[in-house]
Amino acid sequence: MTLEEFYNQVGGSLDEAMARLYKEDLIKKYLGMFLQDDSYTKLGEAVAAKDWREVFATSHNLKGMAANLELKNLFEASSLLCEDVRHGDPTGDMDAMYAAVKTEYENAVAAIKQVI
Amino acid sequence: MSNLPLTKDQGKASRKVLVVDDAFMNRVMLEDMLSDSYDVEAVEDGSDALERLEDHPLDYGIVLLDLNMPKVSGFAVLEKMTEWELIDKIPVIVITGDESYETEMHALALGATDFVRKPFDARVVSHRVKNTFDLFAYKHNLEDLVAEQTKDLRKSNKLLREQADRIQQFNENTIDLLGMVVEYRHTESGQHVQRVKAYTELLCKCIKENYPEYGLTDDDVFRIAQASVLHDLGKIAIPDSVLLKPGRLTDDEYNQMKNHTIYGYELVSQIKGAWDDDFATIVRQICRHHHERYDGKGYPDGLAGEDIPIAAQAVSVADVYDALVTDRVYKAAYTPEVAYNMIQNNECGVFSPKLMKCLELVRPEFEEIVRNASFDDDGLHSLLLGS
Repeated sequence: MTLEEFYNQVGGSLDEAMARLYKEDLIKKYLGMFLQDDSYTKLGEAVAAKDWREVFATSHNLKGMAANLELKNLFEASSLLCEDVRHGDPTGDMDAMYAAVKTEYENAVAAIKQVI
Repeated sequence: MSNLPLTKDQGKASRKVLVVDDAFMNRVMLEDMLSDSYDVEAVEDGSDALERLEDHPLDYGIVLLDLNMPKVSGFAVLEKMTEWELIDKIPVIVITGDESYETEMHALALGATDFVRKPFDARVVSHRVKNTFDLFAYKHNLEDLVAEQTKDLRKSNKLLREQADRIQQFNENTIDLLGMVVEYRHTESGQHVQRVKAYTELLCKCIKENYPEYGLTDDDVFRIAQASVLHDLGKIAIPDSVLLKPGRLTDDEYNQMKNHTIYGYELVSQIKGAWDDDFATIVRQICRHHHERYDGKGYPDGLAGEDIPIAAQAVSVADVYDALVTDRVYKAAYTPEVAYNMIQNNECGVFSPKLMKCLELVRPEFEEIVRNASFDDDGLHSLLLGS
């Protein structure tokens, strides 16, 4: 899979990513590191524990990484979740929001595994 | 401007960048973006950052700081840096995602210099860091420059002060010389004026310390003592036949002799430009009034009590005391004890009770001067007269 195909699959733009990070090598390096990051795992635990502060912290990290890596779909899903718990208890449908993050995360991870 | 010399000396910006972010990927990305131009040290929590900043604050030229961190937040780091007075020395660029306006304002209020936003743009990050870095380096250089110039200024000030002191010393020597010239002309030696100066200084110091109503300062004490050597300056206008007459003076001669106070006053009144006004005033007061008496029966003006300037009062006690403890052509020296009692008993004039109290207080120092004085010092005097 080329990086261009990759970005078509995760909802981002290679041009955007290249404009910020310059080198395909670097983009791939960071995508590889994304697989090592445990923010997503921690987010799952925090949601299960209804620890909303931790949900905020972990979704915030996830959102930041997604933004940096131009993983647009994941970025949008995690942003929704993150904003919802920014000031404490969730106001929206937590299950649905978390499910959306889960889908996009798994989608991104599957694509990353093919591109690096 | 682009490459200001940066050294790692104390107080100067260093090139190390401290990245503080709990997300591993952010640390790696920022390190990648900056490591070409800077040494980058990356830590994962505010607590690690504070540890480094506390131990080696001057190693870091800039801090890139995440706000949301699990143990110690970016806000806490900013607060600590303010407390440690580092916030003006080390610029902080805050790493933010889409933080609220309030959050960013809060960071700025705590001393943050700038922001880098996610997603990171390599060029934006490196420019922002470089600009901030250079700005602070420039600021530090300016501060160093100011410090250096301040040092130079201090040095020139010191030089000026030394020159002023030297001029002051010359001036004092000249005044002393003038006083001594008068002394050499008649029977006393030049040492009389120097002792009067010492006695006057002791008395004035005592007045300054015990009688604040006279408003004397250290400077006044010094000036009065200096001026005291000129008290008999008017004697240069007295004819030899009177001044050097070995026997008793006639009434007419005595009246001529008394005029040395007025002659002295007139003489120093004509001196222009040599002394400042305050000093000239003190000299005039001393010349004219050092033979006044507290009861108003002195000369030339018959001033009484505190109408007599304090400088003249002090000199007159000093003058009488030295006359008593010294051999004169018309009398032998009295012992310091006898001299002291004669003055306290108003046998040689009438003085202010305050001055008499001071005389009592400085009596030991007066007697020390008498003990140390060499009264056999008419060698110079003879030399001057060519005998």
